[in-house]
Amino acid sequence: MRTLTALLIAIILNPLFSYGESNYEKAMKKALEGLNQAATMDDLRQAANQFDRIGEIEKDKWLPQYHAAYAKVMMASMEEDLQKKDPFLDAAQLNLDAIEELEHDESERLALEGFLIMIRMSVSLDRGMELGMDCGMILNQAYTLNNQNPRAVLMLGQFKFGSANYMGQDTSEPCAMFDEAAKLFEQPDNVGSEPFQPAWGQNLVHIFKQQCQN
Amino acid sequence: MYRSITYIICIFLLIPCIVRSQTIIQGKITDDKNNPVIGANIFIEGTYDGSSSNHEGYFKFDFDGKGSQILIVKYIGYEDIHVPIDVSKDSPLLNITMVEASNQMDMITITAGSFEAGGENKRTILKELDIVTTAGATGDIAGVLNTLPGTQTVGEEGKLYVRGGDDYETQTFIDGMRVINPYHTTIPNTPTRNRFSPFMFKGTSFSTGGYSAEYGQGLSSALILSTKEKADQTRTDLTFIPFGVEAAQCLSTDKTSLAGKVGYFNMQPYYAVIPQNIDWVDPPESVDANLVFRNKIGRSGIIKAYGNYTWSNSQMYQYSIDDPGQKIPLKLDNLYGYFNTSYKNSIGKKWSYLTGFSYSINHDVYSFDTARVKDETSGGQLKLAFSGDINSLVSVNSGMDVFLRDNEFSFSSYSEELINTLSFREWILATFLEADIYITSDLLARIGIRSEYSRLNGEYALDPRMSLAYKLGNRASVSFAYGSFQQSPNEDLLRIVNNLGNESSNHYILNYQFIDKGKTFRIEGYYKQYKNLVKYDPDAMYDPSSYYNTGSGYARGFDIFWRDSYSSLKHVDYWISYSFLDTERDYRDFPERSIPIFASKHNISIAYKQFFPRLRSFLSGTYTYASPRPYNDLNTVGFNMGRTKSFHDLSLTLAHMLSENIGVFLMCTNVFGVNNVFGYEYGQTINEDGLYNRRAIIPPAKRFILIGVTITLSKNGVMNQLRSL
Repeated sequence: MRTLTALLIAIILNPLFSYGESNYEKAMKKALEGLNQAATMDDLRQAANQFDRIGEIEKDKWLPQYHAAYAKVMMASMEEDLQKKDPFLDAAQLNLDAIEELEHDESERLALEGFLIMIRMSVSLDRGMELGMDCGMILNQAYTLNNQNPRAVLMLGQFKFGSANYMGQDTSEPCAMFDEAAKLFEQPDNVGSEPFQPAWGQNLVHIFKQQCQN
Repeated sequence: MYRSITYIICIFLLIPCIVRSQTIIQGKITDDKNNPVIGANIFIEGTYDGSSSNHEGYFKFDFDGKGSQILIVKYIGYEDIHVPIDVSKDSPLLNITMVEASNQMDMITITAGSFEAGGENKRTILKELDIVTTAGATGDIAGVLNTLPGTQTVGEEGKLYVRGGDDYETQTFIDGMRVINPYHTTIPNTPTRNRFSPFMFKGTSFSTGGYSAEYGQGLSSALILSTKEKADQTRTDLTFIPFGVEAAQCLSTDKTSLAGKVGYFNMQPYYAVIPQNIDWVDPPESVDANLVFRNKIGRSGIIKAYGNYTWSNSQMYQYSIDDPGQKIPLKLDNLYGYFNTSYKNSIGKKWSYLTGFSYSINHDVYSFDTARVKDETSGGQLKLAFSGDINSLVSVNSGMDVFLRDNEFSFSSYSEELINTLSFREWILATFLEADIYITSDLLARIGIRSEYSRLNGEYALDPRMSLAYKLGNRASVSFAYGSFQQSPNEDLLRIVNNLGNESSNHYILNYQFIDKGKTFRIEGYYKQYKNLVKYDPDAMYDPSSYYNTGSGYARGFDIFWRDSYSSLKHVDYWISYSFLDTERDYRDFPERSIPIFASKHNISIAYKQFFPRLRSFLSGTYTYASPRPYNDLNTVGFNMGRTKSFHDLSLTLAHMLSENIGVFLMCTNVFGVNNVFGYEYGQTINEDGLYNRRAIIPPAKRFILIGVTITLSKNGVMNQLRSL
């Protein structure tokens, strides 16, 4: 009888308990699936908004803000009208600023911020002068904090490729960094040992490496 | 029994299904012009459930729940919408209209009398880079601010002269604390520079009047500099110019950073090639060292410390005006030390506090062949300030500070036999309280009061300050500012008469500003009234009984500024400043109200910058014009009745990146070699023609030409060199 009562209580309480815990996980999982499969601007927007909704409630968690920022950066990179990129990036920057106040992985935050600034620079060459230094500093810092972070390696490599290319200099160092990033992406530690950790970037390695062949 | 329990279990198992009945929520979102709003975030308050509007503005989602809920719609740049809905049944198509958030409160800023530079604020007028990329500014903070309206070009001084105010009327603050002797000491009539490197600061706020109650002791203007909180990455920079070398090293970790810079400069080789108008015995030689420390404490605390040490020396011949064959050697030795530390942290989410301490020492020794003059100043400030929000409409900034300044001026024979000493010790205790109040979402008022008590003259002063800003749509604003300001007399006067009263001024400023995507337009009119200026009898300069606070004056005029930053012309950024000034004053040794020698009626600056991406080069040109300035012509009747020629200067800077970490630059002032004259000095005796001899005050050299190389050594070597030019 006692076991039955316990069972009963467990059954009754189960949905209540799991609601709080798993609802976050469920929502994050769904939003991440949406983000990973996103092929259009609309898909990305759905994902970004979903992460913002989660972030609105989970005010002490950095990952919803992080993924929202990433989705918005991707929207900016897909947007073809140069004049329309900035609003997405401004919105993403707000997410990244919010993360600074929370417990988070700074190397990941900076790697994404560097990516964001590189897209900002792509709008106009004139921005390179002002933003280039900041971008280099941010990505160097991301790399210094964790040189095993494949996104930090990849983004710093891309930044270096950009400046070496502009200077008409040898690009073998940044190209080696792309290979290094590719290796790091293969390591089991880096493929989401903790749930919902940043995992983007592997598909960019091939795109970035193509630059090295030209 | 068991059956009933099983029955109960079954019921409970079903409960979630019953409770979580799904309803459909759908609608269409449009803006006030009936255009669809794409990508708005729509959700039920307190849940993750929601959707985004599609390209036609439609949205639709399922929701598990019942009863009354609040539907929230958010979209950047629009006002949030809250709609109560009943989710017991599927909703009808909700029609939601969003209104553009024309009144985002953080968008209103008080612009009257204030220029923001650097910093993250989008409304900044000057960017950090401008200080180093503006030709003619030669990397000097005052140099670039002199291209803004409201300043007067005074070429023989190189200091900031704001709206008819003397140079001592502009006060410099670093991290909230007043800096004594912010400029390098130079021999008379040669331009100086600000002691502090522009790279140390993340933000510069330059006020040409009506500034905040947090600051005092500047009759005309406040230059408010805040040091960087984020450290640069670990790296080493080397700079080589023909008359010096400079090395900078920065070490940084996540929380802590330490940056140092040491430079040695000797003008000898430069003056050997480029002829000078000054007869140097020993051209200026100097050593300059800086150390910056920053450490984050906890989540929001930050401790900053900054120190500067400068040693310089030079010797030249001064020629007599009365007898040009007679020359006297003048040697100048300067030793300067500055230290500043501050700690900032927050209390809860809404309040923060700052404690700070600064101290500096400056020793100037002027040695003539028969006499020696020592001028020693030391002092500092202790400050405590609180700021925070009382509610969403009112925020407060308050605090107190104690300021101490000691000055000793001694005159001795060359054999160190003391002839005379003048000195003073000044204590000023100040408190301030200021509130920002949003009267409506378009109207912001800043009301403040500053009280100051000076132990030296026993005066207690209460200075009200007030600003109003009103938004006209999203891009334009009108502001008004009023303020009352006090300043103890300059040290050369105070040491003669210790208990001289404060000088004071009132400012009235009206400003209109328009900012839109890289374009800025502003026009500002002002009226400034001076009272209690110190006057003395020029024939009894060292007689304290000839000193009175009976001087007065006014300055009025308007400033216009236009900047187009990379928006209309490809790779081109330019700005144009125009200032009109009408001023007269009766102070110091003036026999009557007249125009002071540093005031020119019209000032124009045009700064042009073009970037050549293909050539990896950058060209910058600045043209400066100042209308004739007064000088006191001893050979005519009246005071300050002489007028110089107008001033013209075109300066150019060309920079080229050789590689990622090596940059070369070439800069030249006064490219066309105009013979500028800043004024005239007169002799003391009448010559055989019955006139006083005079000598023109001219620049030390017609042009200043500089070629330099900068090299950055960094572990991860990715530096854009243009930053360090």
